[in-house]
Amino acid sequence: MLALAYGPILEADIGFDLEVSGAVVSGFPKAGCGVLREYWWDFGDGTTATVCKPRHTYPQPGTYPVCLTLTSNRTCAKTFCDTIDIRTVGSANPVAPLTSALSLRAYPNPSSARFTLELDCGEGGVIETIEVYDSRRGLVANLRPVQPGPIIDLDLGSLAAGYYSAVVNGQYLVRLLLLRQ
Amino acid sequence: MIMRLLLVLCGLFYTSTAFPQFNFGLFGAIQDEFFRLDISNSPTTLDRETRLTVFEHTRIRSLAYVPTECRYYGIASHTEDPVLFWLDPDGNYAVVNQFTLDGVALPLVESMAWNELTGQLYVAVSRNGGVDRRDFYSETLVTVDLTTAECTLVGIVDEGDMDAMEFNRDKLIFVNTDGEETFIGQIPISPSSSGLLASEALLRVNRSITIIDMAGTGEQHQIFCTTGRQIYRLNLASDQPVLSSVGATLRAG
Repeated sequence: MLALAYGPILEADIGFDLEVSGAVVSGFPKAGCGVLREYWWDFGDGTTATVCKPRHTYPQPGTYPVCLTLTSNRTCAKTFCDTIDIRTVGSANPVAPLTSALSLRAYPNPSSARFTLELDCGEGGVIETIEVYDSRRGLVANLRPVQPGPIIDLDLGSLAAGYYSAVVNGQYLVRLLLLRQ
Repeated sequence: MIMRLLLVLCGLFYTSTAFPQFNFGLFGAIQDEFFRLDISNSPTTLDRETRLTVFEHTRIRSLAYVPTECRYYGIASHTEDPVLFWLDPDGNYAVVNQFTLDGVALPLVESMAWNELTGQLYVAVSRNGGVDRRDFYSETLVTVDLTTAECTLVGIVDEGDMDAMEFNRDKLIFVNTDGEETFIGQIPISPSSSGLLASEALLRVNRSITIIDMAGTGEQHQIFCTTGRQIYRLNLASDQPVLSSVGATLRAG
């Protein structure tokens, strides 16, 4: 006899993993990412993220509580917390692994100022955050589109010419070449 | 004997690309043991989540997840006096009460399903049946109060029995295994449904497929069915519903 139901499977040991590289922290739910789960990351320094696998750069050394709240079906939430010790800051060009650039396109590229970022992650995802990194100076822009969508215009006209990396939703990476005319 | 137990007490653990592991999954119960089911394996396997000794030697007749409560609800019964219980994903549980209708204890309660459109847990019961009367037909559809197990009459199903049921949007999909065949039918359900509930036949299959519980997946038009030894997928996407085997089940551990 087997009675059967379909519902959330939340176990005490699912939690999350953190990868730390200098001041850059990447969070990974142990259970992976899914379309029916909502994610709320709190990095303990006033920064939060709602993507499954965020990437965050701490501005100051210190010990921070990191919490992930998983919500299924908008009603059932469970929070997992850990602490992280950041000893150095200022590092920062994003490093692999990030999700394949095939999921994120930038055009025109190169450009003299404006890029169009197009996210295609197959799950109807939208661009919620854009972090722009300079290979020497680290994080140079942290943007949050007023109206998140799969296609967002990115204006880097205020930056110097050169190579940049754009990280969308803390997860998708694309290299940008900014030219000056 | 061991093989027989393996065959009888079988289940599975579900993951898929659409619903990755730990999001939503199939969850099953065999007596006092509760399992996650994985149908990505062949044969499918199950991992025990928890064991509720309060239900030792008790038959869990049906399970349903109620999202507004973040809990699974179930029907537990020995032979008679079925009770409503709940279990949450952390393993907390409680027996709510014996099922009652109009203040009278219900002798037979067979299946349940959550309807997200009406926000009600529907249950198939027999008002006068039971072992003593050799009446095993759950012909009456009721809704149940999740805090008291008091039921409210919805109507009587024309097919005369609902051994298993699940919702596909506003349609109650139910199974009646009787006579020479297993009948799968549907009934439109709304908050105003009452009286004699007329069903429409969806599928008639060989009686050897005795479906004992059903579980909707969140994907419309797809319902998993269990016979205990086998898991089937009922695809309702087309005009011709299809019941296909997912595979035999194997108890782990």
